[in-house]
Amino acid sequence: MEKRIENSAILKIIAYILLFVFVILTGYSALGYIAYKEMPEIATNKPYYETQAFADTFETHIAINMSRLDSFIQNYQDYQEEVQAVDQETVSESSVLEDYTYFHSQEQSYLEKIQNGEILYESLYSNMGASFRYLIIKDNLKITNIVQTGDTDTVEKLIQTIRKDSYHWSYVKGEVGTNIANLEKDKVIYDPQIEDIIEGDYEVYFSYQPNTTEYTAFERNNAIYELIQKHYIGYEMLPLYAFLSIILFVYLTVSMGHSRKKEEIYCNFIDRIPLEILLFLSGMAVSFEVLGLYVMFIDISQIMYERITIPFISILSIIAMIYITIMITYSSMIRRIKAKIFWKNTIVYKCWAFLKRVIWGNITKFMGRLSANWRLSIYYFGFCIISVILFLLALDNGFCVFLLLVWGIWVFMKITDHLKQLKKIRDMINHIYDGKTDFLLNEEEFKGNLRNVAKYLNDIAGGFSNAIEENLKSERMKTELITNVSHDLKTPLTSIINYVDLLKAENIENEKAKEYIEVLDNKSQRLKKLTEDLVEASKASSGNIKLTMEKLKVKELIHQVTGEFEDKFEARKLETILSYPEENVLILADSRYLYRVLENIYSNIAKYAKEDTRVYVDIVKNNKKVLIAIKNISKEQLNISADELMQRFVRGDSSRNTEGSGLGLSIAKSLTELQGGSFDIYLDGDLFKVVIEFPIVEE
Amino acid sequence: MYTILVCDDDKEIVKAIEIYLTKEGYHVVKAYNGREALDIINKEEVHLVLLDIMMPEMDGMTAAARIRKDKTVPIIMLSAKSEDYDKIMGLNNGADDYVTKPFNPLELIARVNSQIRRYTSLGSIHQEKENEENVYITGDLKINDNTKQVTVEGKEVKLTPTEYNILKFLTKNKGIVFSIEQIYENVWEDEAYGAENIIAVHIRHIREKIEINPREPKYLKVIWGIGYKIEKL
Repeated sequence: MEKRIENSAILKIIAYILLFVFVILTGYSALGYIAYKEMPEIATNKPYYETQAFADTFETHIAINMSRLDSFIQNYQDYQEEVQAVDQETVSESSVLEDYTYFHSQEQSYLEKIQNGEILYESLYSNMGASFRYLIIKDNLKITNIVQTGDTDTVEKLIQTIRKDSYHWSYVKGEVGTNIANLEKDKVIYDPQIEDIIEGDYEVYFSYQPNTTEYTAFERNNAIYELIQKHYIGYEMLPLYAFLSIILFVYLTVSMGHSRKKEEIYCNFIDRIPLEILLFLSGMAVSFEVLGLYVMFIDISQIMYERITIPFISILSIIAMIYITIMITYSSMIRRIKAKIFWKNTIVYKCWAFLKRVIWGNITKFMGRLSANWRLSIYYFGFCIISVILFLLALDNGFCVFLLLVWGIWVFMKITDHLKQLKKIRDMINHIYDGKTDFLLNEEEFKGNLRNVAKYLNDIAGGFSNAIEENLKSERMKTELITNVSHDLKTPLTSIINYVDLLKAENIENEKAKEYIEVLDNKSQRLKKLTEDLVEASKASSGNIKLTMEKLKVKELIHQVTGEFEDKFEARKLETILSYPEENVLILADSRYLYRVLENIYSNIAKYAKEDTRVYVDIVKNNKKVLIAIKNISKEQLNISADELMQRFVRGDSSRNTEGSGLGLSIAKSLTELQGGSFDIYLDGDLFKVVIEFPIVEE
Repeated sequence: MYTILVCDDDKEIVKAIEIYLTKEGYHVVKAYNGREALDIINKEEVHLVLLDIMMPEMDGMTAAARIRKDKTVPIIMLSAKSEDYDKIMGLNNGADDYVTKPFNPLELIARVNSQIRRYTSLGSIHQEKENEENVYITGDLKINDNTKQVTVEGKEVKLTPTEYNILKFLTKNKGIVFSIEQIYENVWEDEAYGAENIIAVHIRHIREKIEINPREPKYLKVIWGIGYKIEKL
């Protein structure tokens, strides 16, 4: 396997680190974007007090203080009316006292002061401490939260004090005076909360003097603003960071589980932890880490007021821990999916598998011990019970109708599946019966007992094919042996034939000697023929022959062969009667070996046919086959069956005196069958009939 | 007088062949393995070699290949191995002919004569190409239509007029396969009805006259089930 660079460990580690960096940058940019949307000024050098946010907060405080002071004033006026009512004896004093306890307790000083037009130095309703100051004037009422000193004992001095503060806002007789940017008049006075109050002939003054020692909303916001402004890096790179993060994430996801060294998915010890435990552990870890982060942020909020920088390293390390935990879990899950053990390595699956093994295993074991009839009965009984239950339930439950349907389909599928398996087994038996033993069943496809049947059948087929192979091998060896033996026989035979021939040429007077030489000559010639036929017979019967098949004309062949034997037949006064169809009939055969077949038949006839008889050769077209039937009358009585005649070394005459090896018909039969034809002999009294059949082929 | 080298490890066979060849008027030198045969060929002038295949020291195949390296002398392989494969191997190794044991002495002599004639009169026949009109030649078979003479390796062959016409037609169109019907129509210029056997018989007779071994014809080949042809040599 080629070592793929993208799976190298170093590259992956770099990718993990880069992914972390880009995820942090993405998150940071995203936070920056949110902050920018809230306060666009953080992107500039503007201080907090010149931002829209400050103006908005200031306005909010105006609104809050105005409404509170207004209700104070309203309460005071109501109290005065109540007091007058007491004087006119329309209500009882006690009820007034109950409703306006506050004013009542302060009655003397407040009433006096208000009636004298004195200023109320009252900070009761301010939540902003001393830094946020106000002065409200309405008729005789003058209220402020400024501390009374010599510099603030008149309204004019108070107004001056407020106007001296860094940021102030006032509304006097429809005129707004302010030095705060972004705080328009309309915005304040048309604020639905304040609108009505201000219309009520108020003179209103508000101011704020930044004071770092005092905890106010302004100070807090200012601190946060400055912090963000200091660390703001813009959000323009956000899409790039996000894109790079996604790319790296995808790359890591794809390469997870692959290594340079191994082809298959590798799993480490983490992947062997059951999924639920892994998820629980990593969940716990992340929870603790987030808790840590939270604690740290609380800490930061404390630190913030003291103007101390955020401990970035601490935050970063906690985020890194979260990142590592999540990535470990994620990569393990991806590896499990890739290694296809995602479900297998879960506690749920293991429990299920255990239950299945124990319960289902025992059921099948029990069923396996039962006889086929019992098993079938149980299956059928179970099917009936479930069907009836489902049917009854389906009477008034829609879901059960669906279940019944599913159940029906499931049972049907099971039965067809079983029948299919049976069919395959039947086919396999047919194959074996036909001798096609190279076909094997896939045992995986079979279930239960049928799997064993399939296995046994495969073994039987294997055994058969082995036996056939063994048989072929031994046939081949036999042929080889015969070839070698015949070769060894031929060499001495050559000398015998030659010297007999030389002897014949000698001038021998003795008649007996001449007769003996004649016998020697005949027998040595027969021996020669025998050795040749022996090799051929053995080759033909073992199929150890290379055939060159071509299209032959049957009629032409018969004419040729008949012509070849014309002289021999004539010598024995045999007349050949040919009959054939008009059209050309073609067969596929090896011309040389088909001639050998016919040659053997014809020379048999030349040898054994009764003299002065007719030989009939008929070519008959029969459907898709062509028959060559050759008939003659035997000279000798044939006390033998046709089958025996075709066996090796068997001849029609038992004396074995005449020439021939007795192999001719056996060779002819084997050669015909090798070429895809059939060869049969029929005997009827003295009638000897050979029928050769070949399939017809198109031109 | 031509010298023939007979090489076989079976001394009796060598002796028998010697007798036959001496009768035919050849001078015979004997060798009993391939090495001896090579030695003799290098020393003496030999006009033909009869070579067995299976021999000790050096087999016939190797010897034939060695001889062929620098000699054009005809080689006839003589072997008990009768498989097609052995014959092809022998002919590829430089043999000019292949005779299987046990052989017919007459056939062997005929083949020896044929090879000697070819070797010694090499050129004279081959130069006599089809330059004359009405003369048809393939290999050593020559038909002179002017004199109606047929010769095989210079020897005249007696043919009947029908046989002559068939042979002439096939030799004129050597290399082409003709069915019985086609031969009939071309030679008789008539429909071939009922005469098919006669052609086959004639062909058989022609083969017996012009071939050394009619069962293994050199010139007039039978393609069973298809037809006949004169080999283009």
